[in-house]
Formats: sequence, C-alpha cells, structure tokens
Amino acid sequence: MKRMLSIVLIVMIASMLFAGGGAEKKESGALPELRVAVMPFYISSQIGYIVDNKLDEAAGFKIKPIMFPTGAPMNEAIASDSYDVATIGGAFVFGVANFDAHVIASHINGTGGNEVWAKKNLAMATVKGYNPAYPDVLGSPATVKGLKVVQNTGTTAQLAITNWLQAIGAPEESVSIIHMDFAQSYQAFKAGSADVAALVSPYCFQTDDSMVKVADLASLGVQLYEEITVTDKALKNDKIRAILPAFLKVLYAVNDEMEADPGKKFAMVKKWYDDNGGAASDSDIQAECDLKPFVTSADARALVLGEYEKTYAEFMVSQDKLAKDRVAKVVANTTDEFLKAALQ
Amino acid sequence: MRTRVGFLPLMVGAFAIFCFFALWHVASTTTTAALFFPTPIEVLRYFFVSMTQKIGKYTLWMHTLHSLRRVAVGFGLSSLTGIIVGVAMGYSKTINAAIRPLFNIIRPIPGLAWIPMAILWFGIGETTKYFIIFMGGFANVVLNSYDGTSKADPTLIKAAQLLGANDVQVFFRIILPSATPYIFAGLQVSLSTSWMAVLAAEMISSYEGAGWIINMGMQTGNTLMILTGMVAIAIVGFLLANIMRVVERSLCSWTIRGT
Amino acid sequence: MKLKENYTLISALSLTCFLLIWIVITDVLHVFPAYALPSPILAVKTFFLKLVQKSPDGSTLLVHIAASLQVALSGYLLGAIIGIPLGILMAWYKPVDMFVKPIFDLVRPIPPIGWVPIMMLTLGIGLKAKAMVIFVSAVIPCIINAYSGIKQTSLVHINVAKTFGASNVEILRTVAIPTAMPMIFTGLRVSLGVAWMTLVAAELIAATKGLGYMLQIARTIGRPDIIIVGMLVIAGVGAILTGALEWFEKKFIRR
Repeated sequence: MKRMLSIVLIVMIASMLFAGGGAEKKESGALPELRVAVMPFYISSQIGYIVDNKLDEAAGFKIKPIMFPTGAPMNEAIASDSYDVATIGGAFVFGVANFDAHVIASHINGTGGNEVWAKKNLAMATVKGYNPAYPDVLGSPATVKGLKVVQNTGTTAQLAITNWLQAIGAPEESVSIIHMDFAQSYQAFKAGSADVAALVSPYCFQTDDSMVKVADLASLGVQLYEEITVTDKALKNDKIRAILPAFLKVLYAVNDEMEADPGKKFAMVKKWYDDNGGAASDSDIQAECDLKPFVTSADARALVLGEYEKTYAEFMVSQDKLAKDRVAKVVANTTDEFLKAALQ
Repeated sequence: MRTRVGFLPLMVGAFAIFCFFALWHVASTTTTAALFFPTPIEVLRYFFVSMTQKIGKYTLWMHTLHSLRRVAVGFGLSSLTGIIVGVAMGYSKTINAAIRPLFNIIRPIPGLAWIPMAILWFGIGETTKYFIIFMGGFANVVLNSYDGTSKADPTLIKAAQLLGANDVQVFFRIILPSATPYIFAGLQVSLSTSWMAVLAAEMISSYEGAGWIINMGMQTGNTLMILTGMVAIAIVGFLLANIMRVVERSLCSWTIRGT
Repeated sequence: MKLKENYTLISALSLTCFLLIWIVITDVLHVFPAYALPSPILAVKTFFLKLVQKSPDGSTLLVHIAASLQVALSGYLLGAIIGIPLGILMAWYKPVDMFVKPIFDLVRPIPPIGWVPIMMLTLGIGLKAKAMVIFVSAVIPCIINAYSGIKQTSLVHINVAKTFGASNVEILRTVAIPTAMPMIFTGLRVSLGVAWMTLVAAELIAATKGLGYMLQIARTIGRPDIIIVGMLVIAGVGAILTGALEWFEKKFIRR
C-alpha cells in the first residue's frame, strides 16, 4: 500500500513537470517560423511593422514575436529555447558571453537617449567643461563629492555614469552609487531621493525645470548600438540559418524606408507603443525617433561589426561584471556573415 | 463564530475605513507626497472608470479575471500536489524521511527568487507564471496536510484495526477525515499567498492581469495605476479569503477552528 | 532507536540521490547547457569564491548577508513591537477590534511587492523604505497570533480572576497574556520567516549590497550560478533564523 502510494506520487509529480516543460511549440503554416524576442519599446518597433504588413511572409518566413520586459529575462530565456532571434540593447553582451548567443547585426544607433541628469540647485550644475576635453559636461571632482547617484548597474546606465565620472576625473568612491531599475531610478530622482541619475529613454525626455542634463554618451565620446542576436541553438539549425539573411534584408529595408520618411517612422513607433500598452507621449516618441537613428543599409556597410561589441565587453570587464576571458568570446561570437549576405 | 454581524460593528467598521481614506486624502493633498500621490477620490474614480474603459488591452474586470485564471491553475496544481505530498509524508515515515530534507531546502526560498530560475527552465510563457504561483502556495498545503495526517488519533486507528479494517479503510475512514480541517486551513493560507504571488508572476512578462497594472504603473511612474491595481488585488484577496472560510465551514462543520 | 537511525539514513540517501541526479544531468550527461542549470559542483565553487571575492557585485557574501539581515531584522522588530500589542488590544477591547479589523482586512491581502513603489515614493530609497516593506508583511502573523492567543483564554480562568477582584487590566496581564504566550511565540516565528522571505522584494527598492541585490545583479549579467547560490543562501539563513528562535523559545519559555 505504502509502496503503491509512493509510486503514484512520484509519477504524478514527474508528469506534472513534463506537462509544464513540453508545452508551447508549434510550426505554423507552411512558412518556416522565426521566433523574435521583442520589448515593448522603440528597439523592437520595426518587428511590429514587419508583422503588421506581412513583409516577413513576402520574404518567405513567418515572425512570431515573443514579448520581454527587459534584456535580462531575454538572456535567461535562451536557456529554455524560447526564441531564435533577439532585438536587444546593452544586455546583449551578457547573452553572448554567458548564454552563447551570437551578434549578427546592429540595427539602431542607440547613443542618444542615454543621459546623466542632476538636480539643478546643486553646485556641480554650475561647473561646465571642468575637463577641457569634454566641454559640454557638467561637474567637477570637488562638486560631486558625496552625491547620491542612482543607476541601473550592469546596463548602459552604468556606462554613462562611469564615463561621466571618468571624464571629470572624479573617483567612483567619492560618490555613493545606488542600484535601481530604470523606472525606479527616475522616480527616486524626481522625488528628490537622489542627486544624480542615469536616465534612459523615455525617462530622459520626462525631466522638468528642477533638473539639468549633465552629460550624454555623445558628449562623453561613447558609441552605443542596439543589437540583433541569434541563439546558439538557432544558429545550428539549418532552417533558421537559411532565414537569417532574408530577415536582416527585410529589417534593413524597413530601416531605409523609415529613415527616409520621418513621419512614417513616427507613426510606426507610436503604433508599436500603443499596441503594447506603453504610455509614451507623442513628444517623447518624436524625441526618441530623432535621437536614435535606425541603422540604414548604407550605414551598415560602413559599420565594422565587432568594434563596438568589443569595447562594450571590455567596459563590463573593467566594471568587474564579466570575466576577462569573455571578451574573446564576444569577439568570436560576432559574425557579419548574415549581414553581408543580406546587403548583397 | 462570527455568523451574526451586528449593527454597531458595521458602523464602527465603516467609520474606520472612512478615517483611513480621510487620512490618506489629507496626506496626499498637504504633504510633499502630493507630487506623486493621488487622492483616494482620484483613485476610486480611476478604479470605476477602468471597469468600463480599457487599461492597455483590457478593462479592469478582464485584467482581474486573467489574474484569477492564473491563480486558479497555479493554486489547483499546488493544492493537488501539496495534499498528496503532505498526506503521504504524514502517512508514511519512510516517505517523510525521503522528502523532508528536499522540502526543507525548497520551502524558505521566496517566490521572487524563483523567477530567474523559472525563466531559465520554462521561458516566459504561462507555465512560468503558474510555476511562481504554485511555489507561492505549495509549502503551506504540504505542511498542514502533513500535520493533519500525522496527528490522526492512534487509538482510533488501533480500534479500527482491531475491528478488522484494512489499511485502505483506515486511511479513508479515519486518517483522511481527521486531516481534513488541517488541510483546509492550509488551503486557506495557500490561496491568499497564491493570490499574492500573482503580482510577482505577472512581473515576468504579460499583457494582462491585475499585477500587470501595478507593474506597468511602476514602469511608467503612474501612481494612479499602481494604486488602482492594489485596490483590485486587495478586494479580490479579501473576497477569496472569505469564500474559502465559508467553504471550509460548510465542509468541516464538525470541527471549530479559531482564527 | 534503530528505527530512528533508519530514517536518518533514508533522508541522507534521498539527499545524496538528489545531488547525484543533479550532477549526472549537468556535469556528466550535459542534458542542459551549464547556463540553464549550473551543476552543484559549480554552485559550491561559486559559493566559496563569493565568500572571499567581491566580484561581480562589489561585496563578499558575508557583507551581503549582513546588509540583508539589517533590513529584515529592523522590519521584523518593528512588526513585532507594533503587531503584538495591537493584536492583544484588538482581542481584549471590543472597540479597538471593531475599528482596526476592517482596515486590517483591507490592507492584509496586498502583496509586499505591491508596497514597493508606495514606500519608495513616501519614504525615499534608504533603509526606512526597505524596512517598511518588510514590516507590512511581518506585522500580519504577529497580529493574528496575538489576537487568537488572547481569544483562547478560558472563560473559567477569567471568571475566577474576577471573583478574586482583579481589574480588567490585571486579568489581561496575569491571565490572558500568559495564556497567549505560546501562540504569540508561534506568531513571532512565522513572522520571522515571512520577514526574511520578503527581503528580495524589499531590496528591489534600491540597494548597494544585500542578497536581493546580489540576485538582481546576477540576473542582469546572466550568472545562474550566483543565482542558485543566492537562493540557497537565502533559504539557509532563513532556516537558521527560525531555528535560532525555536531554540530560544524552548530554552527560555518552558511551558
């Protein structure tokens, strides 16, 4: 009796686990499916446009968008084989280094929209160009000493803060750096709980008169790209491999079309935000469209894929967020093979 | 115990809730919190407006129903496995010895801490959300089922065995009935913790749910949305707990448990 | 005696089996890639490394634990200090019960993470806000258990005390509270567990160190081995905390 019971028990638990794990996978129709990880932000707006206008089906494949709130769960979901291709920001570096993903293209120049802001009434707001090499940057080692700085550690926000402190020659220990999520950073800063904050779009468009822009990535001489990555499993799947050039081709065609027609671009981005419950205002969307140009196919030909990826990986190594040997892996896992095929 | 609700407690209760809202109103109009904090009137207005107008893709009703569906699945699974595991542990010392150490490792891990692992294993679909809710309720059901089963009166069991009852009869006639009140106590706690876990579950990624409203509010800095979501969660949680109490009372009328 | 040893053996055996299966499917068979399920050996290695190494989140494991304990215990103590007297008052004085109960019932079902944005907006991003998130979840078992503990007082005892001319306050102090002590202690124990479990939510607010912070950073930078270590350390410290309280209860409150 007891033995029976225990067997029944084990079978039940096991079946439950398998029932959970195995669900959710299906080929749809005749066209091969490409599962694309997206976020409800600017970074994935092109994917929405491609699906809405069936550009994917015209090119011989079918996109299935998979929604993620941020880049970190995107990386985690590689483990459970939840998608093939991702539209991802700075988090790409950890996906590539720790989850075996591969960079195959940069689709947005995301240098804009990564800014450092401070409260206007601080002494540091009056010191401009302390280091002549960075004439537009505010602050000096003496005026930032002891300030409360909020950033989302391990993301591009850290890139902005670290480069800003380096530019004005202030050691990181002289300020107190506190980790918070992007949205929380903005709220804490607005509520006056923090003196300085690293704000990404759309929060950097929602600032008011009590705040002043200290620096942005451009004024700090740093470049940033949003990336298209592919998981290792998808890359080893010949069916997916065959689709990738067509996917990039469609993506860059949309980029070319949108950069040529700003009105159309605005409408596309706005629709993406609206469709996914994001509450961005029209002026925020316009600012984002202006600040973060899509990479056109002409830009893509000029861009050397792998340069930015390497510097970003090196930055994360310098911040102790990546092991040193991972830079080589990031470099090795960046391939322009599909990009070249797409741009031919 | 509390079958009759008198007039006086009802009045005092209403007065208390009124005081609560009044305090909130004063705080949100006079202090610095006013910058972010809407008044209770604004929240209630938004709350009722969103019953008919959509937030994101659905109305408040639909969001709540989506959350309830998730809780139903997660809670159903955790009750089922929890009762089986707990009763088995209480019934057989061998099974208890085998499962107990693993259970003790898993039990104190908070639901939020499961999220990364759940995404690693199940991706970000509904399975992950069910898993987080499952984890929210599982431990309580197991512990209570175990307690109930292992506390079955040995004299009764002995007596039944003397009268010729076999193991199956003893199990279904004596052990299970005496464990039922405990199991229900576990289910009641588990239901409210499962409902709380829905917020964590919907943080993972979703388009709908009461938790989604709060998360979206957090992401866009919209305090009105946050508070509306909290009001919805509080009301449903309150109703669920009371429904469970009624069910328990009608099913286990032979025991009176003080809560 | 023999029987008891047998069960310990079974427990040990089941744990070993569990670990063995874990090792076999990760390190030996590689059923999952290392990033989906880190092997126990890697987890143990990471654990010992984190004891001395600050990388990648800026503090060693012990510093994280200390920071988290500070947050959790301050919230917990506040919960106990406010919750127990409140529960006692509610159970003993009818008007207090009628006034507090509806508010309590209304606020109780709100999950701790729901409080995160509210506490942050009203109390800032320091220890205060984090401790308050813990407080709202820790206070609940304290209130409930103190309440039902007092309610358990037998009417006979109360009547006896009354016959001897004890005042209402005296009865509460000498009869009701001693009766409620075991229940109150159970409440304190449950509450400690709950407080510790809420930690991860509280540290969502803002942090520079702490176990919840360690988990967040590990997620951001994609280090499942640190996540596993974090989960197990949270579980372990939680178990130690409740164990310590249990020991304390047995040692000092002999029933």
